[in-house]
Amino acid sequence: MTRLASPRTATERFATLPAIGGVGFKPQHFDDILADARGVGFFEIHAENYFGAGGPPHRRLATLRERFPLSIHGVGLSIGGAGPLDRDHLARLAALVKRYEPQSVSEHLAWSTHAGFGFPDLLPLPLTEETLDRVVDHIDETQDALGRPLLLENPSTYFRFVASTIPEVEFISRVARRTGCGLLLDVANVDVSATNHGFDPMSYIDAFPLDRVAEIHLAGRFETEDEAGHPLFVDAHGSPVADPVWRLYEAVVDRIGPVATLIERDDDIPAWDVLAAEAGRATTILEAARTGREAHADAA
Amino acid sequence: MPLELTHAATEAALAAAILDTALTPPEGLLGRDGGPLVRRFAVHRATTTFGLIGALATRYPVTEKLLGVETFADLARAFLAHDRPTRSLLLDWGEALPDFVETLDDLADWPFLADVARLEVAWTRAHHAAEAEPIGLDALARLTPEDLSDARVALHPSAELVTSPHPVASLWASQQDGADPDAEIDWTPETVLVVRPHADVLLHRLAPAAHAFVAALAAGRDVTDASLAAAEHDPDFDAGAHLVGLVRLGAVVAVDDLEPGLAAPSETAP
Repeated sequence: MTRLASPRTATERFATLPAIGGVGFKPQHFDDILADARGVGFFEIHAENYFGAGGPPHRRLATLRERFPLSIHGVGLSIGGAGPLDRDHLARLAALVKRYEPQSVSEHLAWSTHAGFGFPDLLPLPLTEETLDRVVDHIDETQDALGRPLLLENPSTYFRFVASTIPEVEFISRVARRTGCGLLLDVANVDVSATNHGFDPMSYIDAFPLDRVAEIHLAGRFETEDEAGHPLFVDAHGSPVADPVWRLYEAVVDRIGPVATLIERDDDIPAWDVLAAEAGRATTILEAARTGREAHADAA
Repeated sequence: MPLELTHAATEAALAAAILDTALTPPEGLLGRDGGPLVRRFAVHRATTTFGLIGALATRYPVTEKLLGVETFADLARAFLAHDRPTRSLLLDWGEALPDFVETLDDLADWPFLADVARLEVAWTRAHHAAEAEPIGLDALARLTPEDLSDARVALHPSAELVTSPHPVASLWASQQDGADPDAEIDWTPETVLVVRPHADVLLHRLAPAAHAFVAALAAGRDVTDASLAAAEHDPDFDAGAHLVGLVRLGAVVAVDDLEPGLAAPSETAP
């Protein structure tokens, strides 16, 4: 029997997380995780929380890494910044990646430092030919330092720049093509931005380079309004994933098949079983998609 | 922002308007359908401010408990006007809070607070310090009395001394889970050896002679020299017993003819 070679999937090219539900690791869940993590296939950490030399953070992470696949998610490299990358920050990220050999390394299309000031936030940048070149340079430098592909995450935004000349999806596509990086599709961010700017989230997904998506993020948002009474969603990670985001997620999985999916929760952290159940919901959706695809393949 | 503004100029305008909340958001930004912008921009101001206050609260849990959440948040806001992180990484940021606390007239009735915060700085540093395997008593037993008196002692890389005219360790302990926060505290000066030999950070109170002994060892002086320093505070000081105590605590990673300087943890003193 001969078979045509199938094109390599994003999971093979950019990251090797299992295509099931995962959870952002919080130290207070450590003992519960070791006792029972059924339905949870991987954990993600924020890289900067592990930039210390040793101690309990690394002891816990080493134990976790022995038992589960790991995603290292940077939140402070400032890839979208106008200035040069912080070499010390990059070196510490590279050392962490070397130490734990994670299945995925990701960062954001955002900036968080400027002229000697640091911001614990993911700040937006105008999308222009100038910023595109700079983001490409920064990702090239990062991937060289890490010796592996990075996943770049789509942002959540609250306003636009008059100066922007390139639509966000096109910007991300061109960055990915030029750098060879993979993509982390944050479905909750798509929904936040779509709500804040009044566009159709599915049209964003349709245009997104889905063949490069090697991980998905889901998270809760905080809902408020702007002065004009338009809905204003904030990417707050302090509540369960909202139902419209689950529906959007199902549409994405339907389109691209099973992809590793992380439940992000960084504020108002619930008990472990609550987060494990949310990851389990993602796992169920992914398994249904896998079964559906296999049935489709058998029929064909 | 006019179209010709560069990436750097755009970023500078955003950064300035996040740092100074009295400024209006920069020009060149659009809300939905070109609509209002202030509440949208305020998301980033709030994320930054609450992120930094939260980072300080995480770093100074006992200081926050002593002051109360509201007062601590006021202190953190005042500190932000004085000291901002210079990079996105917050692991090393906030260590200047104790010195700042000492400058505040409003906290003049709380003279112990800065030292409690200094103890928390040492705790966090120890928590994140490099790993090293403490020696056991057998390593001491192998040395002859002559070797021991000439020996230098390498303390664990997490080890740090905090000295205060106030009972900082007792105050710290009174705010831990399960402790009675209203229990009587003996109001005497305390010196604390902070060390994390294994998973947990330990706070070990030292009498003045023992403090002189450990500080001398930490400065790279040999056991005889360190004993003499301790004897100035207590003529009956038993160096051997104290060395055994340090080893039992897990605070010692080597006892040998070390190069001076190998055993040199930093000392925090008010």
